Amino acid sequence: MSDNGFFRAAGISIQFGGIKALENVSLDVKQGEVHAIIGPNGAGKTTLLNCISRQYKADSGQVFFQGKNILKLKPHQVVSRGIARTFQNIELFKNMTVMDNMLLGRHSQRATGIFSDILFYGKARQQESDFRLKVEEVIDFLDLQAYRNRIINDVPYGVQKNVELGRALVMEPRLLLLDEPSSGLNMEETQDLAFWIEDIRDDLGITIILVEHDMRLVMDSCDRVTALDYGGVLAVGEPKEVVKNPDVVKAYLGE
Amino acid sequence: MRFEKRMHYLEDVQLFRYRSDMAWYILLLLLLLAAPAAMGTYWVSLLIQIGIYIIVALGLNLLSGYTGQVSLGHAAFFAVGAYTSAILTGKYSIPFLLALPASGVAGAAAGLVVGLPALRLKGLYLAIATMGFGFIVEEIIVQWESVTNSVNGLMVTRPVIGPISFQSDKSYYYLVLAVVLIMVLAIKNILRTPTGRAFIAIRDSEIAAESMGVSLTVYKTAAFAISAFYAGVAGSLFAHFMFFIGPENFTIMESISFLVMILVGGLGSVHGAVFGAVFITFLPEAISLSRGYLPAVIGEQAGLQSAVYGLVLLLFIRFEPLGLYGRWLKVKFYFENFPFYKKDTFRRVRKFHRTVKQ
Ligand SMILES: Nc1ncnc2c1ncn2[C@@H]1O[C@H](COP(=O)(O)OP(=O)(O)O)[C@@H](O)[C@H]1O
Ligand SMILES: [Mg+2]
Repeated sequence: MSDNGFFRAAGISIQFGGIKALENVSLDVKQGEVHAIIGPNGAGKTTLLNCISRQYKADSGQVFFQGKNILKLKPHQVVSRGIARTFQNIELFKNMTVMDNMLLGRHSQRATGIFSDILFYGKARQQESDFRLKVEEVIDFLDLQAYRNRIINDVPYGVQKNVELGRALVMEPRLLLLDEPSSGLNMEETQDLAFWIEDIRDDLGITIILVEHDMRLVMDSCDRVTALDYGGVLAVGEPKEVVKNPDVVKAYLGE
Repeated sequence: MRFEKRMHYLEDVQLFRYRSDMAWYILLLLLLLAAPAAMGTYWVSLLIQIGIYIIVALGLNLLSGYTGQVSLGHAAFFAVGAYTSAILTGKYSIPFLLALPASGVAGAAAGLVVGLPALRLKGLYLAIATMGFGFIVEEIIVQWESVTNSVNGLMVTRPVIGPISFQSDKSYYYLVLAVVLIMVLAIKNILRTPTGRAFIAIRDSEIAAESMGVSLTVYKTAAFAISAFYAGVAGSLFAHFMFFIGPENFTIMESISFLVMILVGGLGSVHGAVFGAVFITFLPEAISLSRGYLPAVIGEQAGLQSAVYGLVLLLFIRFEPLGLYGRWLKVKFYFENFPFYKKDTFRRVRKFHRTVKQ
């Protein structure tokens, strides 16, 4: 486990029209940590995640993941490097079942082509069985058994959030990007989430970058924090230091 | 009422979930095998037509129903298949067993030609682009006289495979039935593996599909190619069934009736493709029968068929968006759960808690 150069974003800038959504933002994440990104609404947190997962094309900057620059890849190629993500406004396949949604998490691991799929024999059959085994593991991990064959449109919001997390876990990523996973969850669901985040880090060995508003979750579950405001970095450090930083306090409370 | 109990991981994707299902399908197959013996040639020829349309519908449904890309140019792929087969077997005396898959491949190639530039188009724009492609192919057929014989069309013979001749409608029926079964099985397999899930994923959310590692370029063009392969194979069967093909078989009206077929049958279901094919085969028969009973002003209108298609589409989209297959599911559910059926079972639950999209 070398901590050097696991994930490093440097000098990321992106503009929308006249708005500088991010300006020269850097982010260092060590392997095995839970790294929170905090900041008021519109600070550029989601935009930063989108630049990493290549939904947005940064105007300048570099993103290194395990020593390789990933800022030139297509979104679907970022996935095969081992980076999974969830979205602030759930992006599930709404007309599919929970099971099928999570099976898509396995897509980047597929070893069959279209032709062997058409025959559905031998390798394709075995692969389908293996995929389902993996999904069942995650379903057990996140307590989703009751919803296995329900259509996403028909399950509650909190469950949808879990399914999206589960779908990302099914990918067996090395780095997981979560955009406000606790928003819209009730107290109990948020507590479950806190446990899962620790399990994901400790038991599954997945590094997490987490955009989060709930400060309790940040204080309890995160190893380090980067605070953003107006597209720039205000502070980086351990949670209890960052929340005391005068710039951060000012950004949250106003003058 | 049935209880779900799974014994191994592939149980959800078995072709027949229950033993009773398998029994019904075997019965259906036996009926289909016995049908020509019990029917007159008129009915057999209708069944052949249904079979050919089922293949088109399966392909178009994969593209429009599952992947969410509308095509108003499927008559073009159908034409490419029909002419490929007619020319290969007629001019070059290539055996039908080779010409049939070759027609599918030619259709698929045409599908790639449309699919690649169409990658950035969606919805109405894609419909218009594919419609344009349909017109281009129609024009090519008329202009490229040395190959297609222009408006005079091409003569096509019924196939002979080894010692077996499929000259009569009754024998040709079995050939079509065999191809339909293979094509249904292939679609079923696509749909229960990563390929099919990637198609459906693209329909539901392109952003999420990409973030699962699905390449939009690869899968959108693949959907076009597979769909056009189906149309090409159907075109080949059509050519050999009709004995004669010309540009008038492959007009925009044909593309529209293909689309009506999957919309009425039910988007995004294999059963729907079958129901739609049955419907679209009988509709023109019903229209021409009814002409005699309608007042002359209406009955003798040339545009009667288009008008009926339009009306049917409107009614289905308004009252039964899930198509005939959706209606069938509801009826089945009613009888299975009698007397506990609740009227609102199929009503979509409205949800208001989604945050505003940024
Ligand atoms: N696709 C876009 N087009 C235009 N402006 C955008 C886009 N995405 C983000 N922005 C702008 O960038 C800024 C940062 O937004 P965002 O990253 O969503 O903030 P948050 O920190 O709340 O997640 C906002 O001013 C927002 O309006
Ligand atoms: Mg945000």
